[in-house]
Amino acid sequence: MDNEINTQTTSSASSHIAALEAILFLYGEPVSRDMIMRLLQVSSEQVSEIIRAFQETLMDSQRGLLLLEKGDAYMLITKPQFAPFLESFVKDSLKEELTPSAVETLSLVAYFGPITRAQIDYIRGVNSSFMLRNLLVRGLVERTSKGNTYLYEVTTDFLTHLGLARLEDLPQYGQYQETRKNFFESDETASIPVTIDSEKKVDDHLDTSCI
Amino acid sequence: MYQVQTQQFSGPLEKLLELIEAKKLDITTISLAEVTNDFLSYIEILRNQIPSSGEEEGLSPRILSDFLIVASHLVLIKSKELLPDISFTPDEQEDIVDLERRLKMYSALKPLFLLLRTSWQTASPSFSREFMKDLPPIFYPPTTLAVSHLETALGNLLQSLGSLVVETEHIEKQLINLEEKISELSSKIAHGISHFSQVTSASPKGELIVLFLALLHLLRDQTIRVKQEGLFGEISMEKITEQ
Repeated sequence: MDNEINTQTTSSASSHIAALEAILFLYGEPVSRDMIMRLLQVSSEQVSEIIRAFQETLMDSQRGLLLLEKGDAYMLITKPQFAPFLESFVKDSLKEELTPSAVETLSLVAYFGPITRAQIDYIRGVNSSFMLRNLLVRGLVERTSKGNTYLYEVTTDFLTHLGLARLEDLPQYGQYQETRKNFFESDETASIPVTIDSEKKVDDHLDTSCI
Repeated sequence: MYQVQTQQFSGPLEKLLELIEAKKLDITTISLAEVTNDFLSYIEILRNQIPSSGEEEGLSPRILSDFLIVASHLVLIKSKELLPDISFTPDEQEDIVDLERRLKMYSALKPLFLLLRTSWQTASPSFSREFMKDLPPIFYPPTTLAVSHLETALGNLLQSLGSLVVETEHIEKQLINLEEKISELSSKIAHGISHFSQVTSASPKGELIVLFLALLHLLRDQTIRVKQEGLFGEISMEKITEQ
């Protein structure tokens, strides 16, 4: 039985890759792993295998596309080196400059996300609710509700603007994860922002209402 | 010596770091004490500056308050330097250690901010297709759809709305106005009712509580005199006649 499945996988692997390409092409937005499993009738492990194989074929210099990975979702994007040919007819809506506080906030969300507002405030020494709201509205940052607080992370739009296929491709990503560990996971530092968190969701709501 | 950019100014940690670096000091408690005066003068400048440039991070008092928190810690450190005999509470000690730690963290992250800024300005973007581009809008009503279905659906909707309305009425019944009860109670006492149980006999619990609050209010305002014999005993009330 196992053998049968295996041979099936190998024989249908290339057709699965092609099918995935078609799905991602048409859909446009990030497609979740669950959705791929459902559409292709494959297991989660098979999805990983198909993704890996697909990424390999895309690495070919004759291909103009790239597979963006964010969390458990995938999206087809153009390779950043072709931007000069594309920019003339596709507008990059994120072209505008970032203010220093936007840069600070966005850096923290990108490199240290998912992150709470309390943690951002703690590092910046400034209340960041206004700036986070601004970035949310511009589609650079998104938030998910966790318990009684919000976790902020960057969007796929942020990644595509920087021509990145995944968060880990940010410059010196690994190095700053170390920096974070040194400050956040040593002694009691980690507990400080967390304890402030409990009241923060209410705060975020208030901010929504005043804008 | 101090520069306040008119468009956006540094946050408190950034400013503090700037002051320490300008004196070529390390981030230590001693160097924090040393820049306290500079930091306070900066706040003074900021205070005059804010009305014209306060849009950057939201409300201007909010920005000032972020600075004042840091300033209060600095003053604490400075006071220790001037009066070595004073001792800090564990909380104060933690605040100072915390400030040092945050400054170091901010200092470690400054290159990151620069890095992101540069990437943002120089990176070539990727592009993606729009969600379901080129697909016409789809509306497939079920083949079996009949007018009666819509009617039933509307009926269900109205029914659920109806239950909401009942809910609202229920809540309104619970609303008891303390002020009304005060004047009600006071007028009843004026009309000769002298026992609290006479007022409350038919009242539900919520109203009873409010009536009791009303009683306390009247007592506080010295409009009535109240007497109670023992715990849970009858309360007798009497209007205080004005001299």
